[in-house]
Amino acid sequence: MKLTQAQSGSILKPPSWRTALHDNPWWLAAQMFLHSQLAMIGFIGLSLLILSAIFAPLLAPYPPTQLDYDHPLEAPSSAHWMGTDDLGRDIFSRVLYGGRESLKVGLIGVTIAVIGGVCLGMLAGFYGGWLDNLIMRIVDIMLAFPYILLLLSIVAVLGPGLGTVMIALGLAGIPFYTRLIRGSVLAAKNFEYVTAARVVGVSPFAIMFRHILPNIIAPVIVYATLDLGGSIMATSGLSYIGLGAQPPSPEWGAMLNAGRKFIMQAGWMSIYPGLMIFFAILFVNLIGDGLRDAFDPKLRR
Amino acid sequence: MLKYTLRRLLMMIPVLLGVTFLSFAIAKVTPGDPARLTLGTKASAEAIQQFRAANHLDDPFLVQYGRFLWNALHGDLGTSFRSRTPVMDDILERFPSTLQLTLAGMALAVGIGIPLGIIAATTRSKWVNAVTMLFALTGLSLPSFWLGILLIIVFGVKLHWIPVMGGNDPRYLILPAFAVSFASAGVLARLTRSSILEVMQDDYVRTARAKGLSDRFVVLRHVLPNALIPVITVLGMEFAFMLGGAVFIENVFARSGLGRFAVQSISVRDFPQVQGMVVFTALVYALINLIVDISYGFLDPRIRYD
Repeated sequence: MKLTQAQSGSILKPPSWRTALHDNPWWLAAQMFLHSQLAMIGFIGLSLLILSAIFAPLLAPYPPTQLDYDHPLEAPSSAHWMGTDDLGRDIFSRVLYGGRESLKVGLIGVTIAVIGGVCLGMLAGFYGGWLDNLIMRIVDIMLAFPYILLLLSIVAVLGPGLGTVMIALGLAGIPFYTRLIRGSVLAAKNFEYVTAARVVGVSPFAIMFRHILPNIIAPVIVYATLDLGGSIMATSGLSYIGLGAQPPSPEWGAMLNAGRKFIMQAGWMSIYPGLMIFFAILFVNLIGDGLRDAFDPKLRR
Repeated sequence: MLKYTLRRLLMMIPVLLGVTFLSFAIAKVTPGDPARLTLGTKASAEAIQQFRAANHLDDPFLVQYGRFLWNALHGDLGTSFRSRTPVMDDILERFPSTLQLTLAGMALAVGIGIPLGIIAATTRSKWVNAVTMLFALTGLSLPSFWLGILLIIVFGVKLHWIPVMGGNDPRYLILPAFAVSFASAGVLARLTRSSILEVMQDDYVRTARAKGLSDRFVVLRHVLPNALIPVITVLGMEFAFMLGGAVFIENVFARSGLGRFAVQSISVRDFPQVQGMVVFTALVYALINLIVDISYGFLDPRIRYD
């Protein structure tokens, strides 16, 4: 509880802004994060991937769905850096555009899960009683479901597609965050700063989201980052088995699916999109590990 | 111990009830009339009526759920829309292949991960440690299905050392098992390493050393039994994870197991099959958890007295 120490200290003697900053846990975490080489590699790598996806129209030498029947299944060359697929489409261009789909779906999926989990976990932990019981029993049942099967069941109900995958990732992720948040709220709601806020008449909603949330969000950020890697993997995996992005989408997993039939004669169709998935997840995991070390007080100093 | 086992068995009941209820409800809210899906679009209205009556499709929801549960308890998970075969038969036919894959994957993950973790923790060599951590990080970031594809390209197209797909003898299991186990091997290596490093700092290890026992003896007899307890729990989780991973790997290597079956039944929206799969797999998961908990109780007697 660095924050409360800083606050109680400030009653005795007003600190300079510099010491105040050095007592701020977020500042310490940011310092720690910036000094980790691996985390920085992940951060720069992921930034490059995101930028190349955003600026794909400027960077890609060909339109991602432009067919060229004169040059199908061509090996990588100076004209086509990563070769062409069975329809003569440029793989490098498709891989750049594909990042838009894979990264976006993973990110939105995790966001849905975090928002849903934070709200439910907050309600369950803060109010307790029957509401807590109801929410946590549903969470227990959802956690008893094998994660991949839960994903598949939701896709089965809503029908294959990237939008479905987004929703499925979000729904399937909610129980994890709910449990994480509820535990932290149970611990946090008895702290003095919550009691103080109650005494001066702050509304329950404001206590939950303005007072408690900033104090318990750190582990959620770490977990969500590591989860993002898993979500990108699940998105491309589901597309690979034909339940996610559908042709002619250049989503990385869907490109791998298209490459299956030509694995013997055109390995590049399978190698490059997979390499992108691997790097995206690797960078995200490096960032996640860096954040975990930065937020974990046991490892600090 | 018996009491503990019984209590754990009883705890499975509400979980399984919840899972069956949820999967049954999911199948019910999904658009599409089972009678239409089974009989096809050309079926007459009478035929549809007859089918609905014969399958009790017009009963109240809870009555239908009760019947589903009763039948499931007797090993009947319903009949497929398309093939009209009993779902239970379809599942039991494919489960051995998936179980084989998962067990082979477990053997590889344990055989690679745990020794690597032990070596990394005990040698304190910077080089071994770096390799272990890199291995764990790569394992977590490498999609198993892409690893499978790479293995097919390397061994099937270039090297031809190991058969890639099609046959039934154990050699065909090597590549899929490796692909499905890679991530778990990394996780186990990292966990074993950190768990051993933690236990090594305990007082009883220092005492054992002070008595003059050899390093090897201390590690094998004092450190490992304690350090491996958390590894056992994760072993159960990894087993479940690999069962799920079969969904992807079986597609890569064209193995006809449960995972591929699940994907196929979802693609054609055969709900009795999907539902049966969910219930069956949830039962398997619950059993894995049970086995882990019980073995945990054996390994660490303190847990039983909670």
